[in-house]
Amino acid sequence: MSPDLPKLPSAISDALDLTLISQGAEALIYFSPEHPFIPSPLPAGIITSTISNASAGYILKYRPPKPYRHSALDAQLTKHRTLSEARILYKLFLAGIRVPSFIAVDPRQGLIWMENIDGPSLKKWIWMREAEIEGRHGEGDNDEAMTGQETIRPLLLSVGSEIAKLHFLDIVHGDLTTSNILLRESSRLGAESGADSQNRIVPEPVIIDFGLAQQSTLPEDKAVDLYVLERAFISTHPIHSEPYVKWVLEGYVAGFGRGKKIAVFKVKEIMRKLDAVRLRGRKRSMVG
Amino acid sequence: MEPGLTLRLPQFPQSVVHVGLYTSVTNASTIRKELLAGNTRYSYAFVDPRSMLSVAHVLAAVYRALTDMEAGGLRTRTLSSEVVFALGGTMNIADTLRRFGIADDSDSVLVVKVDTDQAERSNSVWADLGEIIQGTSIPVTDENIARLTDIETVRKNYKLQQGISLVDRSEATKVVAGAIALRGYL
Repeated sequence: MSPDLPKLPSAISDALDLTLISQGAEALIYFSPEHPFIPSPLPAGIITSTISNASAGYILKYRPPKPYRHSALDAQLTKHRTLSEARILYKLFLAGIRVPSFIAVDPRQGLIWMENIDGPSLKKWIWMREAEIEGRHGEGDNDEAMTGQETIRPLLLSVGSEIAKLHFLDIVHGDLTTSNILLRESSRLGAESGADSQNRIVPEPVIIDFGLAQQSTLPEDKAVDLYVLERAFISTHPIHSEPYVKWVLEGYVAGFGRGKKIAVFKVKEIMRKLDAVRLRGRKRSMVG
Repeated sequence: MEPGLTLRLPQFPQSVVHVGLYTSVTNASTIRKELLAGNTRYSYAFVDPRSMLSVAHVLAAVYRALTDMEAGGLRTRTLSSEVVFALGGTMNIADTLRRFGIADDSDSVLVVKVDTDQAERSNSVWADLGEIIQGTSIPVTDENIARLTDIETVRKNYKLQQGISLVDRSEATKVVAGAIALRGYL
């Protein structure tokens, strides 16, 4: 544990049982079994679900002051980024996109309260499925690809579709990786995500971490968002990244704007831009 | 049996929150008059339950008022008036107090008292309210509040498009709680 670990405001850490679960470049993520303003145990007559799924707990995201920055700038940056993330979380929730529920924000101190998503990241989930498949068939078996298609494909289709909903609202995530997509056991028995061919309920993808998200109408920005995800797949799931990315994009195109005429045009444009971005990418020589 | 709810917000264990719910209220206009006159005996948040969705809805406003107070940024004169102001999604104090606060024609009222200094009159709250309000005290539960809710009033107060469904209380509470948390920032 780094001796320089920034501390939460004491008023909060004294009052609540918070556990640090992740430390990013910009923020610290704490888990709290308790809601900030709904007491537990609940007084009689209050319905748990009126605010959130209590059993999964809550997340407090804290952007501590950065001493290496000029203090006035730092305060402004923290406030701005915190607010931006909070606003986007709320806006996406209103639009019906699957993101953690926004609960409260303190921009001045850089705090955001949100619902915790209990479930593995997409990265971990794919590794688990791949291990399962390998266990059943052994490496290099042709059937392996088929089974992957039956269990992983439906999930990746829905991932693509969820990202499409985001982009259709002209919001780009800014840091789309397989670690920033969590999978939650669907509460509605597979009705929305469907069941895979083995009739296991397909979990629902929840996109998290909108700290770098921005509003953008440009197809270029959306293409870059997708490209970042593509690179993430290539880096963390090198063997099958090609079909995986294909399925995500398949779900994306199918889910964009739900087939409205202008949407078909827009998504084509984004795909065109994606091709261009791929050509540009890192370590690609544009010489000769 | 206490007529109302007494609880503490997890993030503010030092503050005691009392919530009361009264129906068949006959003296709403008197209460309002005393409030506007600044009668210190009426230092409670008087809310018209028609614009309330659930207990969580109330607590979201209390939380906002308390966090704003901690940060030294109260925009109204008292914590009680701040709780009512916190319910609104806008920075217009007068408008919010009018929309959410007790009205002359209110026949039910939801009351909130936040004791930040525990030494205060925590015990006399219910007796006090029993004297101030001419009405029937009913248990503060989501069900009782739901019976008094006027969905159209909620929709109008928070300027929610028809596309946003308010049928599911949990989802609706999340919508208004988010608006309360983001007041002044959206």
